[in-house]
Amino acid sequence: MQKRGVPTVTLVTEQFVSLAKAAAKSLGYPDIPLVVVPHPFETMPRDQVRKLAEQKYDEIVGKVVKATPRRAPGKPEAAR
Amino acid sequence: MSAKVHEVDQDIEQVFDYACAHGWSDGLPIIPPTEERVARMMAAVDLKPGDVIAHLPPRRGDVTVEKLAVNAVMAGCTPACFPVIIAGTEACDDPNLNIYSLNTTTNSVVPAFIINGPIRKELDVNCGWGCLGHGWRANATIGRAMSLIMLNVSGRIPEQVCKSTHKQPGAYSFCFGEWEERSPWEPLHVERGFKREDSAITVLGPAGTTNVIDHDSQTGEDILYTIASSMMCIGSNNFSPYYGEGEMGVVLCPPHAQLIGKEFPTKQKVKEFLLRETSKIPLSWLPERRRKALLQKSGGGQVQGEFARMAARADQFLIVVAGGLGGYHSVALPTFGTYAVTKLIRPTARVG
Repeated sequence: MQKRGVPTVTLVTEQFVSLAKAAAKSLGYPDIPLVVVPHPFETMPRDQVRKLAEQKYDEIVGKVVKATPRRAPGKPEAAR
Repeated sequence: MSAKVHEVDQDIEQVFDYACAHGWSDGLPIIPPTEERVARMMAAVDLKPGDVIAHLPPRRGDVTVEKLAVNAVMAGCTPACFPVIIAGTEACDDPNLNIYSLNTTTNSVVPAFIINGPIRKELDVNCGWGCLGHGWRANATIGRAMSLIMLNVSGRIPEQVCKSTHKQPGAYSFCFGEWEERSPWEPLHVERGFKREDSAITVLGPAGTTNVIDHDSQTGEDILYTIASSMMCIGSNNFSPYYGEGEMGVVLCPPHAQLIGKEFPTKQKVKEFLLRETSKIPLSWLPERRRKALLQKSGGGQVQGEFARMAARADQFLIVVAGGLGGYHSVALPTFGTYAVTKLIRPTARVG
């Protein structure tokens, strides 16, 4: 998405923040906007997910608005 | 040498301390990768130091011949092993293996390597007694080199990047050969499209090893039934969440393989039997919440009546023959929902 010029925000659970940062860096987006959510997220009941979405709404929108779409320096495309 | 050169006291303990401090070691002592040793390693293949072999995620940098050679030296490989390391790296780069997931998941999966063809004898690869274990230089150092490549090149850094809850001892080294001469069927690499006289390396992603003992059965079918029953595991990724994806390994010991081979003329027949006999997981084995979830999502046909299936297709079983004679133990290798990949160990990349 980011590669196509669409501003993005990535949601990541607290246990995976370091991996998300490392993966983003290796893909050429060291400053990718991240929004951290509690872990585990996969098994969270629907009503709690709704509550969480409301809590995180402002942060997500704020980061999307601030996110500047830009293309990566070409490394990932060349990699495959 | 294009890699950064570090000046360290020649004392072996200081070199080891330095490697550990920089995160380059798996925790065991390394052979110092001096320029001379790295050059000797690279001389075993007809490739340039800067040739790019792969882009292994999560780090995705250029995986050059030189970087591979540095890790092969550290692991204790002889230069003759280096063509295997090149082919093993190419195999890990194949998207069907999904090395990104193997290196970052919370699961315990690791890349494990199976060597086929004449190079087994040239390198003295153990295919027999204790072949998954200790005491054999080729097995230990090829597997360890691949593991150090995962750490230093791919970036499988524990906790920070590799989120595995426990990982497993196979993360230090997991490499063995198929005892082709004791198999009643074609070798693994021939089954996967190569010639018998080719040498090849296959990588798959086991979560661990499950020993399967059956001393009592007198028929191949009964032994396979024991193996199938031992592979039915509701705590395996193969069952959930990745039902229908990837391959599970079965390492048959030669005595089991001989008995099975008498009744099952092809590996395909073995796989069909395993598919059928692993389709008998009683739903009562599952706690209620999981049972409901399985029933809800089972558009894929995993649930049939009162039973659930372990695999969706016969080609989800990978059969290989290895291990000692005399014992009646085979080994199941539950995996992750990733596929095995086989690559040619190129003769041009061999020691002349």
